[in-house]
Amino acid sequence: MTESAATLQNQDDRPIYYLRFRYFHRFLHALVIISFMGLVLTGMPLKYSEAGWAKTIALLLGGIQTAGYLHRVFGVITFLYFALHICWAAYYIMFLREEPLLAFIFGPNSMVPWKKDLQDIVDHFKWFIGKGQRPQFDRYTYWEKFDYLAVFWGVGIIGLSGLTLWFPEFFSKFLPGWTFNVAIILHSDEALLAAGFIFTIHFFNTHLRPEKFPLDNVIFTGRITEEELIHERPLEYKRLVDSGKLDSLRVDPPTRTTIIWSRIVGFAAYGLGLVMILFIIYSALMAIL
Amino acid sequence: MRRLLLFSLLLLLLSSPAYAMTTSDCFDCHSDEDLVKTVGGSDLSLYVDEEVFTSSIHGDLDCTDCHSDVADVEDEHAEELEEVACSDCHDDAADDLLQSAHAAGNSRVAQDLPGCSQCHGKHDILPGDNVRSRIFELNIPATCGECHASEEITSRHPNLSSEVSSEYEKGMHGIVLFKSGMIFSAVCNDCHGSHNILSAADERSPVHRTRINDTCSSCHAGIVDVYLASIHGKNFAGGSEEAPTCVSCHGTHRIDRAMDKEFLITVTERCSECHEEKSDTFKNTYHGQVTGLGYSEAAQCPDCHGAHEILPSEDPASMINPDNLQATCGACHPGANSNFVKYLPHADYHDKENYPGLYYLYLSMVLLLAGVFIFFGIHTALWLIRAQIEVRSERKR
Repeated sequence: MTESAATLQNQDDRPIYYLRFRYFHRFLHALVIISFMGLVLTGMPLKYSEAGWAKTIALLLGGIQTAGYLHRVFGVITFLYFALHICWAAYYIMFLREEPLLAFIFGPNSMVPWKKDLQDIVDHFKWFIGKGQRPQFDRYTYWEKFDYLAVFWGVGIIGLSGLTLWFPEFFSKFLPGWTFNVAIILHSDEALLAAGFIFTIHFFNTHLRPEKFPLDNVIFTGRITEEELIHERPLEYKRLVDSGKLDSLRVDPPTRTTIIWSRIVGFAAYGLGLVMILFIIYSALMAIL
Repeated sequence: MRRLLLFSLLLLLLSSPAYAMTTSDCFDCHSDEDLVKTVGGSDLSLYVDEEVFTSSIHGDLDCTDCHSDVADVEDEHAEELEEVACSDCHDDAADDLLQSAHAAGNSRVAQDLPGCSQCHGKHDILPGDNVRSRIFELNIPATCGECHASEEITSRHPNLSSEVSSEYEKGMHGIVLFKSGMIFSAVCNDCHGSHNILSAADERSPVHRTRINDTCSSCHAGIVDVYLASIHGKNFAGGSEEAPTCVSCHGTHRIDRAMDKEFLITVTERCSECHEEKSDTFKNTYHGQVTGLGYSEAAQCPDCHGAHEILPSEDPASMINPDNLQATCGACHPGANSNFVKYLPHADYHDKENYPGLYYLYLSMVLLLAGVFIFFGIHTALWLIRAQIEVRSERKR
């Protein structure tokens, strides 16, 4: 706990909150959770179609045909949030951006990885092994940018390959049939990468590591405490203080209802993710043995 | 004179020609429901229901026609009678039985071998077209089942299974017979024969590998000719020991309906008994995966290759001949064009020789996954350790 945070808390027992994510972004993240969980649940049984658990899940979903319909519905939700985000990004860049374009793109409010991120990775590893200070992060850390860009990569590859597999008759009008052989490998293994990554690495980096355990509900409430902002994102805090914008971001603490809901959603996603990852590991081990 | 009369009367009585026992004489005793004899400690009923007997097919005969050793007996006959010899009249059937698997000497467990009465009954024998007859179509499975569904009896014979009866009931022949009441459905003897029944291993048996197709075709006309023109049929006719016959794919006692979901989603297993590799590669495709999860409408082996009409792709009539692929794929994928049929339905991305492109694509995916998980795995593990150290030192402070 840094000194300033301690003093701030001493003035008033209740922590100060700042807005980190607006409603729109919380809504998009909710769509991501719903569609991603839905896609994994309805899709993974196919990849492990010979496993008992896959058959059970297919049965619980009302048969593999129903699972297939649901998979497509969640796929459509994925395209929807992707499109919404692109529209938002375009809108932001055109109308809300406060810096010149290039300064924005390579600045701290952008998700584009830049030199500092590489340096942060190196410094972070040094800190892990006790050979340096913890790097000072800004609004978006390098692992958050990785998560974000992985969605682009994932929606691009999994989404497009999924579309070809959904409408093979249409795509074969201009693509050779072996495209579908390629598509199924891409779709299936990218999905494994995505599910494996989200259910282990993302969960750990964002929620399960000791400072955040058991759940970081910033994305659900949209609010970050001053203490956490100073500790986790000191550069952003400093920038906001220096530019005098900090006060404009101050918000009421999240309501009890919001916190309860974040826990319900968060832990449900954990539970589902954990079960799926155990099934996948089990099947992978059985395939090797 | 009076004495003489009495004497001659006595003489007449004593010297009268051999006294013949009539059927009514027999029933004097044998209509007693309580009449028993004790054999090996248990009571054996000697009661014969006169009404049942007279309405049986042998109802016009006298008891002594079959129990011939009683014919000359005047009053009480010996306790042990000779066995009834049906062969005296039914010599053809008896001869067949002697050649059959049921003949004495064909089993070490002689007590289990059926005589005529096990299948036909004794005093209650009815003609085969009588619905109450033990050999009426509807009743044959139960009649044979008395032994063949018995766990106790079949367990003494290593090549028999007590499940044939219940399997038969679950199969189409059993369903059509019992649920639809169609007595032209195949019952035991339609395939196995009756008096001349033989083990399936015997070349003379109608269910022997070499004869089973003909046996099936005696009811299933036409389709056998389609089969015989297929690669399976040609190989069979050519004497191949491996070529499938009807039962290789359809099963024996339990013959499932080939249109049923249960049959379709398991048909790959049947094909894989010979075409194991093709079955494995099928399972790695979308078709195979959804089939594995119970979606019967996806393409299974017969949807692309045909069933009875299977031919190798070189054959112009084959469903998978390049010229016919658009029609074959088009059955499920309307509008399948020449691009569409370039799909590789049995592609194996583990097979570097035949599918190098897919092999290297898969390999690069594996490397990508391994790279990401190794990097972030180390990242996570180190971070966890460091974070624990920090949290602890903070607590101490």
